[in-house]
Amino acid sequence: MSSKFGNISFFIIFAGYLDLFTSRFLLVNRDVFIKNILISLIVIAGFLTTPAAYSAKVIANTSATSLSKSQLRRIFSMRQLFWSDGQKIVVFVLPSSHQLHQNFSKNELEIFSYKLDRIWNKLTYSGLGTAPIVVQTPQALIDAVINTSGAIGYVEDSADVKDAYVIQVKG
Amino acid sequence: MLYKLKDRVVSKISLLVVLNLLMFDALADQDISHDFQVHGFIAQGLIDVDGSDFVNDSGDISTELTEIGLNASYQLNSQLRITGQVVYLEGGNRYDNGTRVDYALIDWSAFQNENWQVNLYLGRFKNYHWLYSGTRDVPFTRPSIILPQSMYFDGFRDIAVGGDGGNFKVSHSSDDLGDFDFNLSSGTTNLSKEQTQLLLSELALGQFKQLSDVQTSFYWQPVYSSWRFGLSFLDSKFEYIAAQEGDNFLDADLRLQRSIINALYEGEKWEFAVEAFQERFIFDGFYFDGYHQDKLGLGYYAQSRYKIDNKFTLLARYEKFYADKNDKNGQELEESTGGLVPSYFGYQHDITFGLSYDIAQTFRLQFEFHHFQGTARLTPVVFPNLELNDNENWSLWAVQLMYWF
Repeated sequence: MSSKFGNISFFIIFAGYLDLFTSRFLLVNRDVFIKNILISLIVIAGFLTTPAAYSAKVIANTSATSLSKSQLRRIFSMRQLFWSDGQKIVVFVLPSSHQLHQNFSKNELEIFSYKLDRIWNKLTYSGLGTAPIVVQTPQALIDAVINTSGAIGYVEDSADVKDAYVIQVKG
Repeated sequence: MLYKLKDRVVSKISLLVVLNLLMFDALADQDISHDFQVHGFIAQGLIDVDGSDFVNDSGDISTELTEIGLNASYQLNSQLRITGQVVYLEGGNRYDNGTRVDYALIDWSAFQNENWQVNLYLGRFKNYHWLYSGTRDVPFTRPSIILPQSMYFDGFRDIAVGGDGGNFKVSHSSDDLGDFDFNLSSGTTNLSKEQTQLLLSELALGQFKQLSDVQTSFYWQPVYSSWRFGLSFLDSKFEYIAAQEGDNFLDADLRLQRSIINALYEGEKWEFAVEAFQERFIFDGFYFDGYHQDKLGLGYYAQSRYKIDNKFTLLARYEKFYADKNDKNGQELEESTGGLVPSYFGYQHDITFGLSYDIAQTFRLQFEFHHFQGTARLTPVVFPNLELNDNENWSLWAVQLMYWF
């Protein structure tokens, strides 16, 4: 969403400046020149203030209510397999091409999604371990987490999930 | 004979493990299915080599670029897991073709907490020590269809791919220092007759055995870093027992030791990988009583990948390999064989360009071109095929379609 909007706004800015420079250098029309500057500023402001779509929050079916960022990174890169109370962690994710997954891995985990794929593929196809379980839709992911004890996943910030399942990520 | 029997038994047990796991899946209810996973891959390609016997003797375009695999994993309880993978491989002269048990092991999670994982893998395990060794036959996990031959020489594939024994792994994740992984493995591979002839010579009729193999590696990824650094060592011993009648060669002892360093950078668009190694190859007997050879080989590659977008990735790689670092141009090799073996059997350098296209999430088309200078990484290794490999410069292109689940 935001990138599409970004592309459109860049296009408009580009067109605006092209128009602006031609009018400046060809000394066509001063009103057009000023109008273009205003349009450009509005578009830039709009672009800068567009909220990033698909920002994610973490949900889990466990007694823990918060996690540190490094714990979260460990859990999703399969370097921590148990909750602190000894329960097995079951990780659910969306397909790695899903925008929510991409945003979650890049912004929340700060690990590029292709890198997560590599870590999981190495575990899966070499015998070293197991990868997260992939579900196809955000709703299926919520259902999976709610119905599986020890589960963890992520949802869109705006998604309607009971507070009890939402995990605060600190640091 | 005994080895073959053992190999067959291991294969059968592993197949049974996989089949049982598949049956579990059919019966599985919701809870079990989280503990049970099945995955696989299938890939078919075309490969054309111009100027060497790397894939076939005829030099024609070949379809011998097939890789199929199926694996399953079942978590028995919080500490024990069983897992196995069966693969079918076809690579022409590159390695021994056919179906094989890639790995079949019990994974004992000996100790776990938030920062530490200690595991012992028993059974047939993979080589987890080099950048791409753990999944060298899994097409979509590789940077290229043909891996850099200095490091991932297909002629050594069956020896380097893993072993029957145990692998001990310690992973530590520190909030301040980053991620650490340590592996130590010991286990041997039973070598087939085809593998023996690929390595030694088509005229070797005796039995080639791996007596021992110890490998270790250590990796470190600093916190939030795109870099990862690794060190690895191996020490492997072999013996050749000549056939009692009609063998062209004598008994022999071989020993291979390798030290490896590597670095990997994985950024958002760019990726860089370097692996460099030195290997000592000691070879006694075989040609005549008292024959002794002790060489230090050297190899490295530098590889770069660039993700154009979500679908296209470019690859460029530069690779060097010297069979004897004190004879980089192969002159001594040529002289020592009275001119029989040309000097270009003393090295093999490769420049690779590639492009991969992700058609869908788990469906990829990969293409690459290699230009080689030298023939030191062609099979057979010890007694080379001079008739087919009479070009210093040779090349190949390959294209492969791959799907995985």
